Amino acid sequence: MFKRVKTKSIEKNLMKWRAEIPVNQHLKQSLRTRFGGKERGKRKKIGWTYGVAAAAALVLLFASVLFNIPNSNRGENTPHGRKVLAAELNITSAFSFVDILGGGNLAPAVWQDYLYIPVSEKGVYRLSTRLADGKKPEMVKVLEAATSFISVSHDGKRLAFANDKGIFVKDLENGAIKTVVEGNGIDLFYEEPTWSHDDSRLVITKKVIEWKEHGFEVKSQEIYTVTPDGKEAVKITDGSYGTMAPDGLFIVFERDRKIMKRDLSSGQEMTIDDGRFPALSPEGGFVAYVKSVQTKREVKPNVFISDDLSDVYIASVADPADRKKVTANYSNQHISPEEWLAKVNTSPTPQTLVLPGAYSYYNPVWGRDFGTLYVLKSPNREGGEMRLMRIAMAQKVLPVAEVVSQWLEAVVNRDDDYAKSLMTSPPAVLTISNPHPVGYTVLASGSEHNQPYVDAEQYLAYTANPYHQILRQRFYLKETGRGYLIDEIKEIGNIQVYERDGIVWEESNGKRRELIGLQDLQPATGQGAANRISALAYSRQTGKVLFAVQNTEGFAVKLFDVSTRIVVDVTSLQGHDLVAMDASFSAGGRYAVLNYGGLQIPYSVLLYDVQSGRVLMNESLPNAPQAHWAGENLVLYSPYDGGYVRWELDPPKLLN
Amino acid sequence: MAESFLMLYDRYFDDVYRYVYSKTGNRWDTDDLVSEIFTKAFEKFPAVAGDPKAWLFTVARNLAIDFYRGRGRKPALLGSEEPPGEDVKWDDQLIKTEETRCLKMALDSLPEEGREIIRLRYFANLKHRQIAGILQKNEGAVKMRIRRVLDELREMVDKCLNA
Repeated sequence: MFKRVKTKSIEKNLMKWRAEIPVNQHLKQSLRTRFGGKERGKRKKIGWTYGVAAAAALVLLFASVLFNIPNSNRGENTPHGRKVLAAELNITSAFSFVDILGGGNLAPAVWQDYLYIPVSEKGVYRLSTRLADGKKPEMVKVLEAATSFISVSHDGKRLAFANDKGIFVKDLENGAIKTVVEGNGIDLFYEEPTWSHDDSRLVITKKVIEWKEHGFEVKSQEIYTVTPDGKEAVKITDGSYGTMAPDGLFIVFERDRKIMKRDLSSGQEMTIDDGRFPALSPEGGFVAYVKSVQTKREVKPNVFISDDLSDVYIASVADPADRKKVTANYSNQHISPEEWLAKVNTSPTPQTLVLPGAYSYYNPVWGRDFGTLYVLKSPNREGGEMRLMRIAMAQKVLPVAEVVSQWLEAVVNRDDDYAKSLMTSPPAVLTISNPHPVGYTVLASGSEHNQPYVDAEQYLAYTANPYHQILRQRFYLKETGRGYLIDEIKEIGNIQVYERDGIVWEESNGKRRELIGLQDLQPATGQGAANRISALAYSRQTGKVLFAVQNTEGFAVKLFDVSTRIVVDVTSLQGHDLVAMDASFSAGGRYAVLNYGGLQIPYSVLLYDVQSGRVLMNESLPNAPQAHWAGENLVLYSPYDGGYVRWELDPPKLLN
Repeated sequence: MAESFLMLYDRYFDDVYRYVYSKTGNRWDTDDLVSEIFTKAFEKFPAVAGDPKAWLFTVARNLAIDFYRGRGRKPALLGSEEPPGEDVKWDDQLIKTEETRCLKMALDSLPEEGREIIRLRYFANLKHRQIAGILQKNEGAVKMRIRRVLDELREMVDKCLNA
């Protein structure tokens, strides 16, 4: 039958095609930030020019207007004026990026673009937070000593650290270590050294404990300032975790689980909030701390359920009522409340089910300004790892595509707290082991009945099994007081590629087609059991399938073009019990990554450029999580002595 | 009050991006060119007159010409690196998948002038009068040209589907 299309159909297809072009939201946001700063610079220039020509009152008026213009986070908040409110700051990202493994909850220290990370019993590492293109992060060991607390001087030249023996200062230029003050390691300890605003003194905690039959009791905690040579010490007040303001006029500290502020000239003290681990922002305007909040509800007579959640908060030093919760803990329902309630009998004695948080947070530390906070977090479950997360805050609202992109990344990065915070009604369980995400990309955004939506694809694999899924979803977003949140997720497409009974199938919309038979893939070399496919990935963009054809001596990697039916050998890897775990393509299909490992070969990553036919990377990353795609960028985890560090690689950089 | 640059940026970034992508066919060149376009537009913004979107796309087209001239390349055929969703349609029946492939081939067969007018209308999402301003033609001529290009495409798609 002769087919005829209508002009309307042509137009409709063109518009559909247009909507499917993925706009680079990262570029959009970063360019905007650049222009936004320049545009404000232009306005300021005009304002000052006008102010000079006008009366003094007008000069003052313009000065106050300039102060209140939302601007870059650097240097806009001071201890004496509130230019940015805590309540105005939105979370723009909150990802974990360093895994401390068994390293304990030891707070990092920040100096310019460096993070100093202590790892229990191993020492202190330095990590640059600004990486050159294509370069992986390096954790350089700067101190080989047990430590419980560190602080870098404002000039970056000295590192103060504490352990059971006392407080010491290491000269980071010549390596010399000097003793500041020593405890006795039994009942007298010196802890938590931080540098005064001019690096002339250290603010420290002197702790005296009394041993009991079972455990110990803290008899006293006092805050002192002491010169780095230990010769002059002045008591400030009772408490711990003291930090001095950048102008030297006050300190914030902890006492009896309260966050306190003390004016150093008048001695006047005030309570900022309940909490622990206070940290003062570099310009002195905000204090970050961890606070536990219990909410108890009576569900039957004398029967209660209590949520005990600890979270990180920030509060304005000048006005403590201005505060904001910056993490998103939720109940760890290790026991189902419904099941517990079904079994509990009412009695005159109150009974309470306490549900702790899914996470514990520790020791917030500010970055270079109040736009960045580093927090240690650990899931409250067996085998949970301590990780360092970076929370970015700004007065802006994330665009919808960025909200979805961050949600997708949080899910694959196992930052369930952050992922759930991006949803209006998060489910109880967000992630499962298999199939697991190996990549994602944001496709397009639009609106439907005035509700914004974002279309995105997730790529899923099943460890060491021949299965790949491309799940296309439409994310509907809702504007809230916290910006846009994901309100509903609807599946709008699904392609599965899998091997069954020696045939590789593609299944979509209830229809199945045969792609290739296992017998058509040349067998892997070596002896051993019959060949099988241990991993596969499919690129919808290019119509190519990557296979790992496996036997007990290793596997061969092959690339199959569905339309031409040509099979290309990529590489083969030999090793007893070497297994390909999963594979995935970048969003555009140009690159593919294969995660593999074995008994004798640690977990490794193979990166392949489909266009050039080159293997760009084949690297061993012991104990690190598997690599995955974030659009066109490859997210990798590089191991170091204490754990691993997350970073992103733009594959074209490897081609130069 | 004149529209601020950021308002222009927010309103038209996506349209510029998609238009440029339809020309370059790949994300890397698109990112480079879009960055140049907005940088140039930011510098020239104080002098903008008339329709701001038409002005922005005049800047975009001029830079695209320089971009290709400088690299000794031609603009990609529409769909040379296909946007997502091309090979497998989620909801459409098989015939519409063929239709899209035929449409792609038909577009590639058009002369550059015809492809450009399609890009401006359907990828840059410009109105007829805006396109007229950019191409320095009258609005009626632009409408007629687009109608003719769509008819050509329709005929080529019909032939392709029935081949």
